[in-house]
Amino acid sequence: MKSIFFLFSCLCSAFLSAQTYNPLWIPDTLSGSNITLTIKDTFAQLRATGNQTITGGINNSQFWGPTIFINKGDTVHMNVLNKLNDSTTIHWHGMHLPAVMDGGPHQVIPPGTLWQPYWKVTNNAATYWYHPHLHEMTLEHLTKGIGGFIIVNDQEESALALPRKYGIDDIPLMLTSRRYNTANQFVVQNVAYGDYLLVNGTRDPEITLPKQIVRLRLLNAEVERAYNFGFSDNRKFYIIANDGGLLDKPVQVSKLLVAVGERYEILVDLSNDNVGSSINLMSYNANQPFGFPGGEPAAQGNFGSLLNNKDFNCLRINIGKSTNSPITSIPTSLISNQFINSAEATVNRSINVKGGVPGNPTPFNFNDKIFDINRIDNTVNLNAIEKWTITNSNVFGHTFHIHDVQFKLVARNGNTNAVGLHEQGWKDVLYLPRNENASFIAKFDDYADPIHPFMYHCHFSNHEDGGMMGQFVVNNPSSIIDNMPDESQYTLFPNPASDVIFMENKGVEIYYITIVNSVGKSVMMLPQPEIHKGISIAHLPKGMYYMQIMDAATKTTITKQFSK
Amino acid sequence: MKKLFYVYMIFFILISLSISEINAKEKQSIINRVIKPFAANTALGTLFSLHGKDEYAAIAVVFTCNHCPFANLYTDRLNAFYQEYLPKGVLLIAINPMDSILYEDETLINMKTKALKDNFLFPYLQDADQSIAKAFSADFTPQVYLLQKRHSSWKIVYKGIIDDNGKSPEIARKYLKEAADSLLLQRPIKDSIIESFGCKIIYRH
Repeated sequence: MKSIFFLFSCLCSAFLSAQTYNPLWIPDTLSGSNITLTIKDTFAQLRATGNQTITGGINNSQFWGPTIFINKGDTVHMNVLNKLNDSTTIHWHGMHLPAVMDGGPHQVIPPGTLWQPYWKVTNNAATYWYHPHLHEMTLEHLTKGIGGFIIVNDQEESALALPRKYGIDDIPLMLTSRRYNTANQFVVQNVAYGDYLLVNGTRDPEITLPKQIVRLRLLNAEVERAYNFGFSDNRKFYIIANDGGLLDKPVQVSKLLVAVGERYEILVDLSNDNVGSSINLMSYNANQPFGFPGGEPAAQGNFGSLLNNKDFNCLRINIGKSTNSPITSIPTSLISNQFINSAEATVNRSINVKGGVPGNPTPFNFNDKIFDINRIDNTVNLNAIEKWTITNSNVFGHTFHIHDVQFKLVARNGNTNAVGLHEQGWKDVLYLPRNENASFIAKFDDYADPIHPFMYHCHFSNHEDGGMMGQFVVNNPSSIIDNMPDESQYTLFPNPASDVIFMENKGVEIYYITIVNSVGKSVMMLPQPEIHKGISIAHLPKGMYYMQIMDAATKTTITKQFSK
Repeated sequence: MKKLFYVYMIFFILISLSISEINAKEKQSIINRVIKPFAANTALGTLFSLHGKDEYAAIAVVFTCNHCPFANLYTDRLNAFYQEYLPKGVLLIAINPMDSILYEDETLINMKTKALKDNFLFPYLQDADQSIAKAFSADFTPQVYLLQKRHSSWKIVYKGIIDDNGKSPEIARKYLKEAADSLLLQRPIKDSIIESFGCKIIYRH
């Protein structure tokens, strides 16, 4: 028996040593004040053999889109063209911006329509991401691979000696997994976990990194699985940033739990490794406490997976020569974050995880209310500082994400000392194990909008689609309601127009413009357009169009006609 | 802990059962379904009608569209099939079931551009109100059905993929050809329903 076991071990190790790897795909980059994202149907060879998989790509990508680089303080204009034959949305995860630009379930982009949100970047340097957020379709669209990184730069981060050569010593890593049917297509229904890991869409990835300090930007873009990262030689590494910015100083760890939606930036010291040697970035998911997403023992079924309850390799790292001017030391300190004081919170809110009990048809939800897109769950006053406590006395772990703000986690289970050192920075997602609660404080400043809400939800896309989501509006109590505008207040010129159409709006503030073609199909969506600059219609075919103009004060829509 | 594990397992078993049940049900509802004769405009401005196509032993109906990159991989294969099987009595037609009001790439004028550019040998029909796709219960582009005339009505005898490798036709198993060959030899079609995939057809309600 023992010899059989030995033989089996030999065979296994022979198989393992023969493991082949594929070069890690590094997404293309986009930068500047005008960013164009064209979302499209496409396909990719994701399995080693057999047919291609139907996926969703952005611009030239087949699975997962380009990385957007933006600078704090800049105003960035997004041109999102939906070339899928299905409606979708693009949410700018972690960004502080007007609700009408946020890309949540209310900002539906119909097929063939160009959506043009823009905002002034006020977020700190960190790793953010964009992804679809159409209610009840988020899981399906995310599964197709639609999404990408957003990397924000700012002066404080730029002043630090940190690796930032994108793709060389500064590597974005999007981790997710997929289940395939016999035709190599994604299984979307009733799947909490994939069976095969994809890192930036690459299976069994490897990368050569220089013999120096390198930065990895980790994003968990799974449906449910959490990753308990570490290295195969159990080396220590340094957490420098989480969701919304740099920490005050690096935190040394040997393991790091990253739950769905969370981002962590880590520094890894490879300067003592030999050129030609290799280490693995691993996820140590075996023997986790019950309720850990991906700890379930089954290898198949809704809540099972070939990766469940296992330690598995995420990325083979081969050590190469160091670069010119490498980063050679871990900074002792990073920045001085000015956090909000807990005592400043004037409103306390409680959100309780409900439903989802096996055998009970009620899906996971908050406060016994399934998400209703027509119901505003909370009204927050502009500039309010609030303390939210999320309680999960339920059957399973979740992640809680809130739009609009970066929050400061202040307590776990009522204990201020129980917040991990690595969670001390700004965050927009928190991991909530079962039978625990977590409290955060946040300031809801800058953007009031009485009709367009922000979302808060479990970031497990199947839970979110199932109704584990709520919505809040930020209200400015001092705003004045004006008189309704009438048609005579808007004049379009020139009419007919060729490349740009202008509007005389007699001081009426414009909230939203939708341009509809002669058969009633929307072709452009412009939230809070900078109307004085005119609207570029150069890409539209010749014809008659209707401009639906909604004013900011009364949200009244008036339609004007124009020709091109 | 153990109890929950059993609950998960029971869930899994129930769902697996329901999936195999769905497959069996789909086969029952698709295979031998009678397709009533339809007529539609083609990209080149003619009218195609299923009426009076009595000279053909079978008709291969391919749901495809303009925009879907995966469907676009099959243009040469569809032309080759058309040329090879027309003399054998199998007509291939393509139908675009996409909502052209919602999705401008799929309009008749863009179908014409595509049919000319890609040198379509076969008729390319617009299913303007999506009624043909509904009659077939088509789900994706590309997706192919084989119709056989039995007792003076056209019946579905195959639903599935053209072959099982979009990018590498040389290594693909040619399911449509296998089905057509079986039909021509008057043998039963072994795999009459093959899981298909591609760009989803969104139906207007």
